[in-house]
Parts: sequence; C-alpha cells; structure tokens
Amino acid sequence: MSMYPRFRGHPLRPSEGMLRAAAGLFRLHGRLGELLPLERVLCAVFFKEPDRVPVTHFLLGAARRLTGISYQKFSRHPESAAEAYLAASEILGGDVLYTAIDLSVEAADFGQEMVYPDDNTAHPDYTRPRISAVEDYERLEPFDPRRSPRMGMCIRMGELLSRKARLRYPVIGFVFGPLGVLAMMRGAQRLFMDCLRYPEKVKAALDVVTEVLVDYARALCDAGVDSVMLDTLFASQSGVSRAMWVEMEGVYARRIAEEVRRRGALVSLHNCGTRPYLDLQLEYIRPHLVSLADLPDDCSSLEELKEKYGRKTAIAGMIPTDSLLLETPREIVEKARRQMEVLAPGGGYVLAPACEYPPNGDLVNALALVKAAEMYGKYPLREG
Amino acid sequence: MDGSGMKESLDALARAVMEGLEEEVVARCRKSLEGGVEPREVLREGLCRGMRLAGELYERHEYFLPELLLASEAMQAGMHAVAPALRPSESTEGEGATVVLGVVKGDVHEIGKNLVKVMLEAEGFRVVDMGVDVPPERFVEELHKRGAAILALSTMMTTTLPAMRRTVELARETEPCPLVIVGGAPLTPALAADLGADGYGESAASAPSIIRALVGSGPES
Repeated sequence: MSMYPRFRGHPLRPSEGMLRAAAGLFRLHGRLGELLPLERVLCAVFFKEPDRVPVTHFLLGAARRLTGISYQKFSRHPESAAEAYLAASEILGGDVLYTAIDLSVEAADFGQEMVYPDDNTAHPDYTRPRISAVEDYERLEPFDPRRSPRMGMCIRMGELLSRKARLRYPVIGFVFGPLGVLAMMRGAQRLFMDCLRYPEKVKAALDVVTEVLVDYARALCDAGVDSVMLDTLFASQSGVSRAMWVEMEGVYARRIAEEVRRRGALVSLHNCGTRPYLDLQLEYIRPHLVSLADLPDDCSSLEELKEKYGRKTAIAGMIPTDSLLLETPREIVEKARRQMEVLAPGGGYVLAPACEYPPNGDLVNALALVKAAEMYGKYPLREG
Repeated sequence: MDGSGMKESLDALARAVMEGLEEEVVARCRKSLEGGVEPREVLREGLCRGMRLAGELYERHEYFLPELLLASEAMQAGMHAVAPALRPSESTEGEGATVVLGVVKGDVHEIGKNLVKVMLEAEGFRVVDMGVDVPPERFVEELHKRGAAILALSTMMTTTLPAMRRTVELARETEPCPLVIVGGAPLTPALAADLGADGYGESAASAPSIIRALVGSGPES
C-alpha cells in the first residue's frame, strides 16, 4: 500500500493544481525553516524557490554499496534494493528515491536472456538476443508486468519505497523507453538498421512493447510512486535523427506519458544522449522534470537552456559523471555552484549527475553535491 | 571502360555506399570490375570514398547512427565482392599503419568499435578487430604479434573504466610503446588523459584524423 488513500484499488492523489498550490505554501515555509525532500522537490518542479536547491544522485548500482549488497541482490530482490535506496538517501542526503535498477528490467521480462554479474550492472546476454531475426519482431506477446519477475520487482519496490518514504521523499518509478527496450532485445546496431530497412516490423514490436510499458507505468502509479520517469535514450544526436525518433519512439512514449498523467502522477524524463532533442520530447511527452547529460541540440549554453526551457519544464542533471569519478569534492562543489548560479534562480532546477552516478565511483562526491546545494543553493540565492 | 565512364561508375558506387544500398553496391562493384576497373580503384575510389562521404554527413549531423551503420554494411558487402578479384599480393586491408581495436574487458557494446573499424579501413588503415570483452593481456599479445603501433580502445560504461586503465597501463609497458586512443560514452578528453591515453575520439568518424595527428606527433612520453 502506498501513502495515498485508495478508492477501488487506485491511489487518490492530489491534482496537479493542488500540488502547485502546495508548492507555493512550501515556498513560504522554506523561508522559515528546512523543508522535507518531497516539499523541496515539489517546489522546484512547480517553479517555486524552495529552502535550497534539491539534489538527486541518480544512484542505481551505487546505492547497493550503502548497504553492502551484491549487484545480484540489488538486481533481483525488491526489499534489498529499496533498503539500499533508502539508506543512500539518509546517508548521502539525496532528495529523490527511484525504482531504477538497470536498463534491462523490461527486456528481461520479454524473455531476453540475462547476465547478472556480482560486481557489475545486470545486462542482456548479447550472444542470445531475444530478437535474433527480423521475423521475431512480430512474435513478441503482451503480458502482465505485475506478474513478471523484474518489472514486478520494481513495482514492489515502488510500493515499499512509497510506504517507507511516506511524505518525506518523492518516489520516481523508472521505465525504459520502447525503442530502448527493443535495443536490449535486438542489439542497438541491428535495431538501428532495422528501423531503416524494416520499419513496419519494428513498429509492430513497438506496439506490443508500448502496450506492456503503459501497463507497467500504470502499475507503478498504482503502487504509489509520485512520478514515472521515461528514459528516451535515442532522442539525441548520439541516437537517431529527429524524424526517426518521432516515428519510432515519440508517438509511443506519448502513450506512456498520457497514462501516467491519467493516473495523476507527474511525468519525468531522462535523456543522457549528446545534444538531446528537448523540444521534441517536450512536445511528445510533456514532462514536469527533465534530466539531461548535455545541452539540447538547439542551445549553446546553460543560459540559453534556462532562457528557452526554464519555464517549460524543471531541469536536472549535467554534472558530468566523469567529473564525479575523477575530480575532487572541492571541484565538484565549484562545478555545482556555477551550474546553480545559472539554472537555479526561480526554481525549476534539481542538482544532479548527467546520468547514473558512477556505480563504483567514490561516494564522497555524492556528499559534495549536497554540500554544494547547502552552501550555494539556499534561496534566495546570493548574487555572484 | 574509358576514363569518364570509370569515374562515373566509381562515383555511382561511392554514392550507393553513402546511401547504404547494399545490393546496389555489390552489383556496381561487379560491374566496375567487369568493365576493367582495377580492384584497388574500386576499393579506394568507390567503397572507401563512399564511406568517407557518409562519415562527413555524420559529422555534419545530416546522418545519424542508423544511416552510418547502413553505409558501413554496404561497404563491407562491397569489400567481399571485390576481394576475389584482388591479386595474391593485394588484400582488402589498407596499406597504412596497423591499429589493434577492441572493446575492453567487461563490456560488450560494439557499435562505436565497429564504426571506428569501418572508418579506419575507409582511410586505408589496417585494422585488427579484437571484438568485445577483451582482457588487457590479449590486447598486448596482439600488439606484439602484429607489431602494431596503435591501440584503439572503446567502452560504454563507467564500471569498465578500470579495465581500460589496466589495458593502457599494460600497453605502456610494451616495447615499442604504442599510441593509445580511447573513445566511448563515459569518456572525455580529461578522462582519456587521466587513463594515460594519447588521444580521445569523440566520434567514430573523427578516429582517422585523430590517429593521423597522433602518428604525426608520436607517443607522448
């Protein structure tokens, strides 16, 4: 059971208007004292200035190190993974909890053979792709994600985190985009070429995958998560063209986002590609929060990003993961300070890594991000 | 086939490679050979030039990975068609420096590596493709065996960066010390330098020019 009261099995949530109004109250409260992570993030998402800039570490595999569990356990046991995320937030001070485990959760339940290493992220067995021939695209069958091992695990995580976090932390359910799920079953190289050679066959598979992902998003919402984050990896210049993204993912991702909104939850987006197509993704997915690794293809600076998109969606990310891996905490604090200076004014900003926090990287830089928010991210922001 | 007919034929072949038209590429290769065009010309002025053109479109963001991959498949198909026509002393391998290329231990993402291979071949490099999930020792063995001067490594994950570092370290201990170029999603110029690499390739299409620049300057001490 989630923190929301239920009617006919579904959580009764506050409307978006009520959340917006609550964010306004939290903003006032934040002037007087410290906000809870949920209040802080809500303020940011609705363009109100909270007590300070919220931080999310997007930990995934790194979270398991807080409780000392193996990757295997993190990848397969909802209780252990939820406990790791909670411990990470308590110890490192992040403001958001996720159900994100790895990018193969959905593909595994479609029958993709997996490898679960002890010291590395779970991934498909690439020697045995689920879609080994073009004809296999049309052989995918829909199923109930609630009864499947890995998506079922993440739904369970959503329940556990929502219950344990209560009204303290926002919980974000994570769903890999339809094209990404197919890439995990076909291999990205073959999938990309199939999109050009056999688009109708790929679309037949995308229809089935999307049907399951819509249901998965619905189940995560029913489990009580506050938001569902879609990962549209290929909507960038390091993926496919703008036109191909719209045709092969945009129209499908829109169905998932619409279902999330219908369930009353917020829509988030993660895209860690180079020069992402943010305008297209806003058009098709209409997210409340977008986590990026790079500037969009139509922006040349953080200032332009803030100017062009800063009131259309809340922005997170862009602290380079290689910096988190290599640089000193002092350098990270400085990097975060510069970013907050541009993106944080007026709210609409969450301090975060560009992508998954390096799973084996030093966690002291995760603490440095929070420290940076406490030192330089307190509202009202100081000039310079 | 006269001079202008030959040029026209090779131009059409290059265009077919660029557009990723595999069947047309094979047909045009055969037609060029039957028309008396030297196999090496078909390779250089048809197949490799077509791939270079695709690479240029990619660099200008007019092509993306799918289009580039299709062009690379078309080029490979053309190379297979031309191979039987080459004299025993010739091969589809280039005549330039030898590059040992692979994805480091623990990682199996190979799109970038495969594209780097094709782009290097299109520019005349000899490429030894070690595949994916390659242990550091295997890279070093191959460097020795081939007497290769260049090692090109790829990874898409931060969890496999230690394996990349170990590979660079081991390569540095070999004589003669090869030039090392690295690429992949988590890498940046700063991280490449930290790993001890001589160069960083931001995209597959840029790999040939980066290696050429490095070969010109020699390995860093």
